[in-house]
Amino acid sequence: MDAQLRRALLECCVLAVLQEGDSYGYRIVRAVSPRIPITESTLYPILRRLETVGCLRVYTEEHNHRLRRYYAITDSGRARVREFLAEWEQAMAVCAYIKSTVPNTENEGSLPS
Amino acid sequence: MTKAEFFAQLEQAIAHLPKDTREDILRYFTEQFEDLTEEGMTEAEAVAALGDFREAFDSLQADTSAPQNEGTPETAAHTEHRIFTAEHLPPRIRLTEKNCGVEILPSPDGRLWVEYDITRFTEVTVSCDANCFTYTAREIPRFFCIQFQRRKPTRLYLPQGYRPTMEIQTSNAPVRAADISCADALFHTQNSSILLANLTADDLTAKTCNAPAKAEHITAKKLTVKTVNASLRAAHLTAGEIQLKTTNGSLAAEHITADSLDASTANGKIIAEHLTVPTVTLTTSNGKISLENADVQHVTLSTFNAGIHATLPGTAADYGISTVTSTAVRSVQTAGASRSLNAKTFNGKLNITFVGEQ
Repeated sequence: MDAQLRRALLECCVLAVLQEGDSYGYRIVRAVSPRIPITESTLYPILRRLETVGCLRVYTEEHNHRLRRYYAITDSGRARVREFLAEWEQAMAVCAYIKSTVPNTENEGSLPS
Repeated sequence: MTKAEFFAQLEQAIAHLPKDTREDILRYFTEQFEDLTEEGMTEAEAVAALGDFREAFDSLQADTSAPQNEGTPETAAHTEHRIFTAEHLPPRIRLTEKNCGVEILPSPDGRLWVEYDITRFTEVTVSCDANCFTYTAREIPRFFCIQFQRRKPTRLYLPQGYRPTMEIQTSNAPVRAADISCADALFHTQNSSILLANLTADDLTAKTCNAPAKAEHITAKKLTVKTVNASLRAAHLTAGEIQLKTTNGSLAAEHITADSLDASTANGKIIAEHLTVPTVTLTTSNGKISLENADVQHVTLSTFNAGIHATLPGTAADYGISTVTSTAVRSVQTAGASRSLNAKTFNGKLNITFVGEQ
């Protein structure tokens, strides 16, 4: 998959996870990885960038006598998700058109003549 | 790989990054490692799950090598506009801003309210209790970016008839107050202009530096305007005591009715005209003094490397003038002298005319 596309998808995926509730690194990786490959390493720059642009905020809480960083989505983040979905509606419409112009040689035989 | 080996390799790989970034990355991976081992993984399993740590900061460098300033689409429009309306009108207002303009304006709807922007770098707390309306903007440091995002000026709206005591403070951004009245007020900024227009106040002080200050159409019991390294203009004032002070900038004082006027600058000229002020003191150095159309009684004019040009009411006798040299004129309190004049310069010409003698 194109690197830029993957990054955009990952970012919105992470935001989507946070829309369901505040979360932390390990839980975010667990939630996202069934949909798209991600590790803690690849998650790190995603979280940093989302924080830089104000789509999420970070806070720290104590857990088992150590500190854990939690991430929470912001109004900007919610707006970003809505924007993303609107863009994808458009992208999918374009995709449908492109698909309609591609000769479907595999299925030719199965089309009713 | 063991935990120690993993972190040794990680530390080596990030050694070239800035300190804040290194600490943040180490903190992140330490936390993730602990979460994974808490979930029951062994050290080796956790290391494997973490993935290739290079992915964590390779793209990071790509992001931070591009200038992250307010102009990039990512950091641009992440401001949130907010409004806070007070439930009642307390006697005092304290507004503290930073790097953001402040405007005090009349309220269109009879309520006391403030509108402002917050960003990821600025947090604002506003509250209003029986005694004071308090607004404070606080800056939040963030890593990886230039710590500034432009905000629209913070605007405070005062209803008609409301006369609070005010302390308005900001820095590196202008302060404007227009068409309002207040009790005592302090307007303070730095490195940016102050403009006060059409105000009624008790004790009014405006202070800035390295930027011009302007006060026009003000009625006050006491007015103090101060700046440094910039011009000062005061016009159409009605007040008790007025003090205007700057350095390295010209000073213009006109159409003033007051009990006393003390205007001083250095390395700048003073132009004073249309004054109805019994006691006037104009002081500068390296700049000329011009006093015209002045209804005055006790006048002190002092400069150094420049001339003094003054047209004064009455005759020289009214001022009880005793000493006259090419560069100085002095009065002595004599029985017949209702007025007094002290004018001196050093390398300049003294040009004093008395209306009564023309």
